[in-house]
Amino acid sequence: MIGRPGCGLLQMNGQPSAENTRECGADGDLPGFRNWANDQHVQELAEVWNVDPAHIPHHGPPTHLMQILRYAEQGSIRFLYVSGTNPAVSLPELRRIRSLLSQERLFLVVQDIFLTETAQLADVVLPAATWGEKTGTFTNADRTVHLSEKAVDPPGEARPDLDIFLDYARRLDLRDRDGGPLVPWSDPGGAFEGWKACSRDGPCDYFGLSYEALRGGSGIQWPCTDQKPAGTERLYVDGAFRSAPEDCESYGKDLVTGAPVEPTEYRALNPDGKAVIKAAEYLPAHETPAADYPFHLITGRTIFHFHTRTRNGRAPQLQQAAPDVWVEVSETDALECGWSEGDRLRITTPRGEVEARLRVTGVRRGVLFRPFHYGTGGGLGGTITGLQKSEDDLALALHQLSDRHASDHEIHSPPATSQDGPRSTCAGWPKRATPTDCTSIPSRPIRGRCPPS
Amino acid sequence: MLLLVDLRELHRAAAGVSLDWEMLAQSAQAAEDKDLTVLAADCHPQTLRQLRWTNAQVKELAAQAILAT
Repeated sequence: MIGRPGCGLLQMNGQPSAENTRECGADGDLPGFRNWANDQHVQELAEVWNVDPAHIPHHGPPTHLMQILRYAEQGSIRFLYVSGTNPAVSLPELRRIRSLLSQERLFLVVQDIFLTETAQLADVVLPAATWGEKTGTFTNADRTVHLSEKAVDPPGEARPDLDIFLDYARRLDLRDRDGGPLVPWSDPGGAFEGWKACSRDGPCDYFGLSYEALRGGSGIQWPCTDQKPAGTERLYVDGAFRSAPEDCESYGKDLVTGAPVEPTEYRALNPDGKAVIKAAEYLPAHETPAADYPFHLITGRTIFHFHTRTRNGRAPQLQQAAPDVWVEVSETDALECGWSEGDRLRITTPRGEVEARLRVTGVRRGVLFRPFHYGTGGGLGGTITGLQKSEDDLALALHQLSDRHASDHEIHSPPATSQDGPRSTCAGWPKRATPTDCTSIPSRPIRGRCPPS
Repeated sequence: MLLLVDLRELHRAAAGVSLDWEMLAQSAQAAEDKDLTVLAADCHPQTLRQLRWTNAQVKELAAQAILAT
């Protein structure tokens, strides 16, 4: 089925151009979809970079972010370099994240285009240029490579990320195995040539691309080679996948535990390089709604904001369209709990709490939804605390920010003392001290039935 | 480092349990005890999965725990 017109797979994700980071190794994987557990792939990369293969860390799977932060928390990582991301708002368990990022023993460098919430915790802030202030390419999730050329100079001391990284590499005096500079190029065009060589013959082959070819049109889809100078519109034609043991980018993981599949296991499982479809039995979430926490809490996006609002929170129209966090409740739950549109609710989970204005929407009964964009500080308002349990989805190495693990998050209704019995009741909520940002609508005690847990 | 010690113990314990299932399954088959055979067939893979997980965790954490302390 797949590989024919009308039968393609295309992911819809929040960061289509994050495709670049997946290809080039910025996610912690090896560049060009090379497999860390395949010595041949590591050897190839070592040749491209002209370094000893042992110099390329490949003794284990890439260390995912939550693991890196745990190391920082425990003190075995003392230097952290954050570029173009805002973990002090985006991650689960924000109190914990902010406290570990604020540690005296951790030297934190943050490189961003704005003074983000994370940058405010940094020891050193490196102001960076944004698109339009630098030249480079973007690749979208459909593999289309675009050239984005510099139009204006960056403001103040801001510099393109590439310039900052190159400066850093020079100061570290990174060398290849002949004593030459490990990073031999010094501008975007040179970096692109370096990436073309690194990606050559791999799944994301850029070798046939050039800035010249990308100029003027609307982009070219990789793989782009001398044989296919116009790129490749469709992958997996005739059911051909790059999943043969010697070719695949990963041997995969156990869906339940996240443990990497061993190379020999993969060879036995998929000697002919077919597509692999995996199944796992249903496992209940680690936490499910109970008397104390009768709701599922899920998070997601709003159309007006992107991630932690670093940019769009500064656009007045978007900011006015959705200025503050809210919580969505189903009509039935709102009726049964005696809540109405605009009420200010305090939502508590075992890990944190947040105050949010109520919106009655079509969300499922027993489920609360809140957008994940709103952090504290930065002049952007909001009173949210990271609520998620920072338990990793081991197979995907995604923290639990989506409804994939919605049942980990519950609304709290303490203390359950009503005559209706604890399972089905929202008891009276103690009145809280009214914070300055919601003086107009003080929180109110809540009486009424909660959905069965 | 303590985590590594715990994982090491866990892996050894799981390896013991895995062998126990092996012995039970062999005996159950020989004795034509269908219930026990089915139980062992159900449970042994879970222990093997736990073993693989502890092994993977040790592999992932060992260098960081040992070199950075």
